[in-house]
Amino acid sequence: MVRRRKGELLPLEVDILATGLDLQAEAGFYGFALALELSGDGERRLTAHGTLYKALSRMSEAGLLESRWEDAASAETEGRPRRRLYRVTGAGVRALEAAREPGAAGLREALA
Amino acid sequence: MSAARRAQRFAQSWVGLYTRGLDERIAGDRQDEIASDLADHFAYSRDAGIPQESYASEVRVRTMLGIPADLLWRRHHLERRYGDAYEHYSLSVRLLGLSATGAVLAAVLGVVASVQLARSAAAGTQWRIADETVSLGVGTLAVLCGILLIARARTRAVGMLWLAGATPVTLSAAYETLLYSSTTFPQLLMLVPYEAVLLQVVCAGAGLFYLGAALHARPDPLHQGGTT
Repeated sequence: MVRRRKGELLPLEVDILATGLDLQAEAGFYGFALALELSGDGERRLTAHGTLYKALSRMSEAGLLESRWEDAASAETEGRPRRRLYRVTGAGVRALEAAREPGAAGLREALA
Repeated sequence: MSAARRAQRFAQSWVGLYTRGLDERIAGDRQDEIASDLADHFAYSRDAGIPQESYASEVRVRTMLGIPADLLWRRHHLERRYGDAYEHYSLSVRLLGLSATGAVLAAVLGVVASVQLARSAAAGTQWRIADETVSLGVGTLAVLCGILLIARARTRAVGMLWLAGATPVTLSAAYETLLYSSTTFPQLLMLVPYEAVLLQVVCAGAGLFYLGAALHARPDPLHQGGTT
């Protein structure tokens, strides 16, 4: 299991932020769309449920993502359960930029 | 029921299991999120012409590979909900698991050694038979009693204390018995350096472990009710 230092992003979390920014339009992105995109549109295995949703939960608690539940009526119209929609926050954008810096030196400051 | 539906039921049963006892909102959110993922995954597979069996297999794999993360997530939320009480409970469960495992292993070793002793006696080997029979018999029975005692919350502390004495006696007697009555055991021991010292360390360690477990399992006077 990967151990992290305080304030450090795991590679999966960096990917979630980067992919989330690409996916989020007005409404935001949801779990399965994210898993599909992370897998290279089905090229690789989809991220495990527990791994994906634990990461989303932790990132929401850390303020890197914000989430809301889709309107039940619109989901019902499409005949499926409502989705939880995520958006990358300003803190998430800063954390991603910091993680992409060479050596990720400024990451902790961005998350602080 | 189709393969896809069975896989979905499997995933949802697991979610129901690991969200049990959590805050209702957090548990409900996770259950709804997984239900949504399963439905989206199914729709994607159907539209892409992926066979139901492949979808079902992928759902099972995604569920099983996520189990460690699910358990860590559950633990995180239990700690947040119950704080120190959860820490104490968690330690109690781990101690009970370790204690029961150790006691069962000691009992199995005692039974194996007893069988070996009986065979040895049947073959006419008369060495130290009385000493070992008494030690092994008493020790193994005592360990079995200890397992019964720790199974009940009310007698757990007494059971741990009981095992603190019974386990080292059984281990030591089983070692002596197998050393002199078995042909393979001494050969195995040759692979272990300082085996006699190791036995003493294991016996002392087991005794101390069960003493510690007994202290941890002792009734909390704050929760006994009664007089002030």
